[in-house]
Amino acid sequence: MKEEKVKIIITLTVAVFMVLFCLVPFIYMVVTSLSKNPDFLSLQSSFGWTFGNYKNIFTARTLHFFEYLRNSIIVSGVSAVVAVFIASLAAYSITRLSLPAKSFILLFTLSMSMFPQISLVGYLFSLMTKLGWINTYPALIFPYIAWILPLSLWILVSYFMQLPKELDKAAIVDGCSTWQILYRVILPVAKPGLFSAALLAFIFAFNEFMFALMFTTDYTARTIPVGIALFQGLHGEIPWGNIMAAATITTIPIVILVLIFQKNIIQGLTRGAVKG
Amino acid sequence: MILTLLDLTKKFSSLRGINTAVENINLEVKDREFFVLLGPSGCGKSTLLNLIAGLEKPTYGEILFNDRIVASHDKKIFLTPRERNVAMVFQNYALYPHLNVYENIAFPLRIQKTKESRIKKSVDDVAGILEISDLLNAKPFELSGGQKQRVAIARAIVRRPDIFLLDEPLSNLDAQLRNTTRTELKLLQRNIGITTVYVTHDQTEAMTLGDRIAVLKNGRVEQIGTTLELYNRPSNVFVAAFVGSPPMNLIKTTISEENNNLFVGLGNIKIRVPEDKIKTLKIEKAGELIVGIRPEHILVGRLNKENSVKIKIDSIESLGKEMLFHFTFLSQKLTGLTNHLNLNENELIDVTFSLDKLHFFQKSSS
Repeated sequence: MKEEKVKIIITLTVAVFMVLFCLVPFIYMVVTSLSKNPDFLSLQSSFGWTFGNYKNIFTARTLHFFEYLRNSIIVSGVSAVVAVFIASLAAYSITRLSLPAKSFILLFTLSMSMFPQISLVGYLFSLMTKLGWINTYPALIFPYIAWILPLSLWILVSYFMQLPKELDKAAIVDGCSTWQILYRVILPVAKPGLFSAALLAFIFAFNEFMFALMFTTDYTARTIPVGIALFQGLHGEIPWGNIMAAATITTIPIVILVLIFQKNIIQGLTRGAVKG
Repeated sequence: MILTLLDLTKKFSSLRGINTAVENINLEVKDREFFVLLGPSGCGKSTLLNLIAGLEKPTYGEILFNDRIVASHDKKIFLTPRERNVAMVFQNYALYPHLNVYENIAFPLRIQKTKESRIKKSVDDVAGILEISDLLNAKPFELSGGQKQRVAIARAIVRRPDIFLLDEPLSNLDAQLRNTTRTELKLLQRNIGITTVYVTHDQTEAMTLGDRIAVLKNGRVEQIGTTLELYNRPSNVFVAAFVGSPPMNLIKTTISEENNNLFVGLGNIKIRVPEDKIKTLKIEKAGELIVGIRPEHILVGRLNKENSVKIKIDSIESLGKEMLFHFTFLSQKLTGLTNHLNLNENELIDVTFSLDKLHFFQKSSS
């Protein structure tokens, strides 16, 4: 009995510590965004609540907050959907069709994602310049698709492998062509896996900073992480209040997406861990 | 539809080398017949079914549906399952988890682009036959094993296939349900009259369901016949041991010759090997011969002076109506089946071998 209690206390303590550790930056962000005097360095300054920062980013045209947000959502959304579509075709052929050197393809794809981003930026910049794509959506969408493809592919391959082979056989016997097997059986059945892959891909693209910094020049294509980072105050000071308010708003789409697809994501990431 | 397999062979090549799954299979399934492929796991029975279905390409040989060649290695013909019009039921049912029961059953018709009104009628019909009309809106995960099985069968028969293939369809059901489903399946097959090939490793299922059974081992056919033929005249040790429960006792004996007659000995019991067996098995004058006797042909009691021996019972298993008793004879473990229910472990009893029910096998055929 005593041992039970000690166990519970230890578990709770560790859990509380973990949660606090993860949430402190987030709480700090929200508090700062609501603060009248968001100078986090001076502890002496008095604290007062205000929605001024939020009002500011919504109304100040010069901050281009909505343009950044729109760019981010479009770029990340398109990249995620296209990447997951390509990855689902690849995962299907790797798991179901007779294809030589399957494991080589998988490992090769994985090794691609291990290149440091910085090593590609220079070349990509000159490529985008030649193509005349600098400061356009394609300049971000194409690299993002390539960048998140390995992750999506690996998630989907492991997901597709869990689906019983008899499903394919049943579909073949029922008269399906290979395409019909894919879009009438495998993809609908693999929906949770597709959702989790798409969501992770979206978050990945949404958070990306370096490419967005290099390949965009203004609000016509710049995404929100870069946009926020480059917020400028009136006299060159860093407007922490605005930055934090914008960051808070920016997390909202992701939080909403995660909440909506929570069940799917957990299923997608843990499927196969236990026999269903 | 008559199904003919000619010299059918399937080899799989992998990194570990070439693995022959089925080899030189020749057999003919008659129109409307319930044909069972029986064998232990890894004997190639599922591969054979996949070959018939068109899920695998044969390495050699031909498959014919009536006179139509559906697969031939030499003539380079290979029809897809769709072109063959076969239907298949899988061990794990393989229902489409995202579709409800109605859509699962309608699926093959939708692929064929059947009219909606005809789909509805066909689905309602088979749902009625299989008594699942009240489940049409349920999703597969809401169904019990037996219900899933019915849906899988409904999906298979809804488009009136020429050949109906079943891959161990009952092995995921519990024992009681398996018995009732078995009876229903047999009845259903009779009623719809579709040529059926059924794969199983369970000899009870095979014996109760099959009009004829092919026993397979290591990709080869060991024997084809009706239940009674397999039970009463197994052609080799493998079939003898595999068909029948409890299995046949197989006793190694040595051949001896006396006055131009060949004999084998069961302890003190001397048994003359019948003339026809000497011919068919090509028995030499010396060597070993395997004598088989079914448990029910070992009778309790001293019924006959010459055929009886005294044994000590090692263990007993009561089956309710009958009892199995295990004993050691000639340092081999044997099993008898009796309706004397008052036997005890370690008891000394007399048993009598019914010599007219003996089976003789060449040792090499094992």
